[in-house]
Amino acid sequence: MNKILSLLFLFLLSFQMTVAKEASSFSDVLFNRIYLASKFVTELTDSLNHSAIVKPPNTWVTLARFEVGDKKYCLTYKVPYDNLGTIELRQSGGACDHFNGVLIHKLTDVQDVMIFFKEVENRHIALGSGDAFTFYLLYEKDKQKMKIAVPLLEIKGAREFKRYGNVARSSFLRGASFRKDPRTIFKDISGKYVDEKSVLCHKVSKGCVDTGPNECDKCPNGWYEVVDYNCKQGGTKFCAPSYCGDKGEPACLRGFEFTGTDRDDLCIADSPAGYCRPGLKTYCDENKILVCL
Amino acid sequence: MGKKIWVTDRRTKIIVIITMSLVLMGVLFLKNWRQNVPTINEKWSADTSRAFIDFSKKAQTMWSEGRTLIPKSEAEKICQKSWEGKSFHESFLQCNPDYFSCLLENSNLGEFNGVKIRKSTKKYQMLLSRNPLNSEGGTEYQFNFLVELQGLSVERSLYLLDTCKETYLPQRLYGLNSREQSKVWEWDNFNRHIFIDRHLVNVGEVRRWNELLKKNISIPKKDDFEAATFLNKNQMHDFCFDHGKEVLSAMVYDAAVFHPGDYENPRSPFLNRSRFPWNRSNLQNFIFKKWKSKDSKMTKEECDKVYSKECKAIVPFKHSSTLSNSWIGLFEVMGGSFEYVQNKVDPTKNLILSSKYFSIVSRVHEVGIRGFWSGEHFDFQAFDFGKYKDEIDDQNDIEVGFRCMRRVNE
Repeated sequence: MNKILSLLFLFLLSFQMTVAKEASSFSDVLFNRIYLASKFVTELTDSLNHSAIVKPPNTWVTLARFEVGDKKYCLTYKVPYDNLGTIELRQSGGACDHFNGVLIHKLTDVQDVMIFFKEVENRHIALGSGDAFTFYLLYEKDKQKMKIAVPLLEIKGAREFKRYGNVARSSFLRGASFRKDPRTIFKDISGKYVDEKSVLCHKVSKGCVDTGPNECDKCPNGWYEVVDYNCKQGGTKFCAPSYCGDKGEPACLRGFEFTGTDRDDLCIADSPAGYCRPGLKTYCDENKILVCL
Repeated sequence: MGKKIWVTDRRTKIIVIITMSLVLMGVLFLKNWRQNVPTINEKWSADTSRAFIDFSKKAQTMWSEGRTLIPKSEAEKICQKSWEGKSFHESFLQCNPDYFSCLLENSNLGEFNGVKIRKSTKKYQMLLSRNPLNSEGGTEYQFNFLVELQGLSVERSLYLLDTCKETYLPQRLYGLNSREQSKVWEWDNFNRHIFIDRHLVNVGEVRRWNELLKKNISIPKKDDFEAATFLNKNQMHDFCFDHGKEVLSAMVYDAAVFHPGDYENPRSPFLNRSRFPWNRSNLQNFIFKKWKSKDSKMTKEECDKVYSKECKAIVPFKHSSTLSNSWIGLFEVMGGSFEYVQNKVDPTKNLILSSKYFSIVSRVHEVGIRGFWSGEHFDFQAFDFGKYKDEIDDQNDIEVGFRCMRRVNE
């Protein structure tokens, strides 16, 4: 009888331990779902990298939203009030809403939740040393401080536009990718502008207003820019190849600051902002683009 | 009778305990199931992914530095064996997909927290800008690996961008043409981001492009690190176009090679027009001194900077060299083979003349001195060296290299 009871006790203990072990792998589940995210958004800008989330109490707040291909994940937190808090990871069809989406996993009885994410290495009294492009989730459970770190490998920062700068965008591992979202929509390769076969990828209008997004990354073989307005974002752009400087084609770009003067509209006859092959001159055409004739 | 009652009690007790245990297990299982608690696969996936990330950090170092993590390893010796005794700079090994593959195949990649990683037998894939998987514009390469833990393995891809190839042209005022021209043709690249190939395009790059896009270009028997000096003008333009780029223009070449002097002031009203890429003072430069003394004797160090006609007898030409460099880290800018540039301002000046075809005492060894190449073939008739025509004495086997540049969005 005693032997049977002992065996049962051991069996129950091992089963309980298995559950405890599995429950502790919230970090594995979170890691697997988000480490290849190409988009990370949080609206908790006041507390991000700074302080524990303590309000509004007894309310679900979205800690962060992650996008991995066509999948969206929401990390939400019920801020403690009478009871301790709960963190949930849900797969969502759209915006993060605690009452929608499929529950992937959750952590109960937590408090002092903090999140960290920076594009540079950082130090914080609560975090210690933090890696760049790594999402940190800190919380307290069973009076123990816990830390989950997930490198977000596909989040890309800025390029270094400086002498000896690296052409790759900054990231957890610069110049390396682990997952690709195929570009499904491609622009065509441009033909000649004079034949109306050039393919627009970024239109800039008077007053330096973008008329549509800059889609030049969708050009299969690069892109070129024309002379129109004197704008910070450059001029209107077409997909490559460029026939600039040829008869009837856009003038090649020469810049404008070198003239030492300032004007909003660079599209004027004999504009110094563009140049043509020898024997041709610059004119402004009906599209307000500087061309060679 | 009493004994029988005890037996019944014992049986009842066992049944009660088993029932309670089953109920408890059921409750725990249901709780477990409701929380969607992961299976062993979650841990396996996380462990292998974490190990693959650790491995990738090391692989990225190998890729960008062109070496294994152990200096002068057996893998490096094996992979460089076919080039033994040949003169090339180690920058050729950086971001080189064939060499990197060879290093991976001949290295023990090791275990990462019990996870074994080895290179897949699949050959790497080159992703040009037109490839739907290319997200960076520059050339990327897909390498595949087998990641194994507890007898289970999965194939993982690592995409590596060629971060070694290009250098950035800072935004500032620039001038086109040499000091010979009385009027400097000014331009600027404010609000524009231009990246330029550091080196001339090499044979390996042309071979890979030729194979991938089935161009059917006959490639002479040369080593991969040698400059590709056998393409005609149209093929050069095709090569750059297929890489999302264009052939380097004369104005960008001059901008990248003329030392700007006042580097801190991008809007400096005075454009520095020093004759040589390395310093503002012309008089101190060894080329200027040789011009004055008519002394064409070269040292090995001088040949490293300008591989002129005299150098062939002194030292073998060093391919992919970083020694003949400019202020932004453009390499192979003086001496060696000719370099073709596109020049729409003056199409009759599309060939950089500083090369191994001229003695060091020739005035072609100055920034901005250009001639003309028709671009169709390499016969002497295809070239116009202008007033330097009589200074060239080797009229056979003329080599013309090239490099590409591209514009990049913010």
